[in-house]
Amino acid sequence: MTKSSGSSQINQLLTEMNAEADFPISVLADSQGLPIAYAASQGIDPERQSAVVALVQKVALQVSKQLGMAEADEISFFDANGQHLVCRPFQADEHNLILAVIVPDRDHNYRRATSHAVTEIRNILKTFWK
Amino acid sequence: MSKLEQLINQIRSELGADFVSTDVVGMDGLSIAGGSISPDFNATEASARFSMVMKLAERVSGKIGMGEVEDNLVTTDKAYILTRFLGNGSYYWGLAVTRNATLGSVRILMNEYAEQLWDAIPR
Amino acid sequence: MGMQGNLRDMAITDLIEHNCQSRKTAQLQIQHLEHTADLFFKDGNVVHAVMGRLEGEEVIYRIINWDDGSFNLLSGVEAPAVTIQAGWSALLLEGARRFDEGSLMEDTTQSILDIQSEDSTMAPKFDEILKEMSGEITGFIACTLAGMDGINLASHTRAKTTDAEAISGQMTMLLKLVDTSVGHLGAGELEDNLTTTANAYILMRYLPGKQYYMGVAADRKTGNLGNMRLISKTYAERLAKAMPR
Repeated sequence: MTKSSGSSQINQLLTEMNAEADFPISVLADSQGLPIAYAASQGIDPERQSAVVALVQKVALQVSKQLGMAEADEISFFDANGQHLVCRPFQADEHNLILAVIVPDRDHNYRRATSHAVTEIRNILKTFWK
Repeated sequence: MSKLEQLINQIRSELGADFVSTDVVGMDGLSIAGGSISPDFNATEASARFSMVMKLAERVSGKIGMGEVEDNLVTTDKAYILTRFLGNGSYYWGLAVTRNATLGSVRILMNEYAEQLWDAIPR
Repeated sequence: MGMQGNLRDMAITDLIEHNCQSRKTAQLQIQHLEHTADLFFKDGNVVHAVMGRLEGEEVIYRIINWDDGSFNLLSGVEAPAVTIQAGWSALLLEGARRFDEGSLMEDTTQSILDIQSEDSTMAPKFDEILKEMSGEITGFIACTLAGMDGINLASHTRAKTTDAEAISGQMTMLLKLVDTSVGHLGAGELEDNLTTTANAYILMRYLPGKQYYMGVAADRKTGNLGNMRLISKTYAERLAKAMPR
């Protein structure tokens, strides 16, 4: 049996998260807005998605600083239809990453699924990419 | 102000504090339009050197069978330097931004402006 | 029938350019201190060069900065061999670039030879690291670890038909040119170079010390840039740790 790679495990994790939590799209991006991994049930431009979430995170960081708040651990962006983009910036070892998901409507539970994914991604990085 | 210069000004303002310099350069190494935040920046030398880089990148890619070059990104400890062929490859667009810039969004910006810059080049 | 002169009056680059542009068939003998180099021209190019036991392009790069000595051009002399494929302008470009850098080549080559002879377990260890890295890079095509003289230390490819040696040589040239350009422009210390082509992303990253670099290619459609950069950074550190001290 071949050894699974960290990258394949992250891809698998995002796919499973999408299926369980009913997210149409999830992206793991670096702080430079480049895609590391993604999973989607519909067409996606991972480069554009990653760039946007990194911009969102950067703006949020500036806002936090201006307001004297701690760094955000979640940033949400709602559209008029109730669909929203949730960005979860986090640190894994020395890497600054962002997990972003599209949540289909306001009543949808996403926090537990994304928190679990963040924890798992940290474990994978520690195991495979240290 | 020419259309090309207008576009360059738009690009500069979109990038804001992250902008360092930009040039539209013929493959002879001569810049036809551009700007920089620093008067000390040697745009002439940069244009010539990076036209050599793009030519060599094209040659290397051809020899190893990886297809036509679209762009090249150099990361240094001070800046990102992106160079991208325009249109039929007779020009390239060079853009330098600070390391604070969000690289992904700079690449998206370049995708969006590349065709407009090509159309604006006097031919 | 020939021409004689001194390198103070006519530089080697001028001699090469002149004989190539006039499409001479000729032998150019150059004497500098105790060294003698012979260049052979045919059909607009330099086709052979020899200096002692050294042959080919490397002779051109070694002599290009000789600014003192004598030369003797012998017209109509055919080259005994063909050891140079590159065009004359490419030779001069590469020679000028190497001259800009100074003479790191001999030291680097010796270090590579030291690594290869000293520790026979080095190459398999590098291979192992590259193979592991290949499993982590989405859309992986090929990767290589090479010295800055273009000599391949280790490589791993998805398809056996991929020529890692050729890829190393080509990538080395590009990385050097980028580094020289960046240095001359005062744009900082080069960390990596990423080329996007129609079919691939090609990333080159120095190992600490800049004597070696790692090159990685990933499929354009299935690769992810963030994945490629993050993984290559992690594994460059591993490769650096695996280098002999």
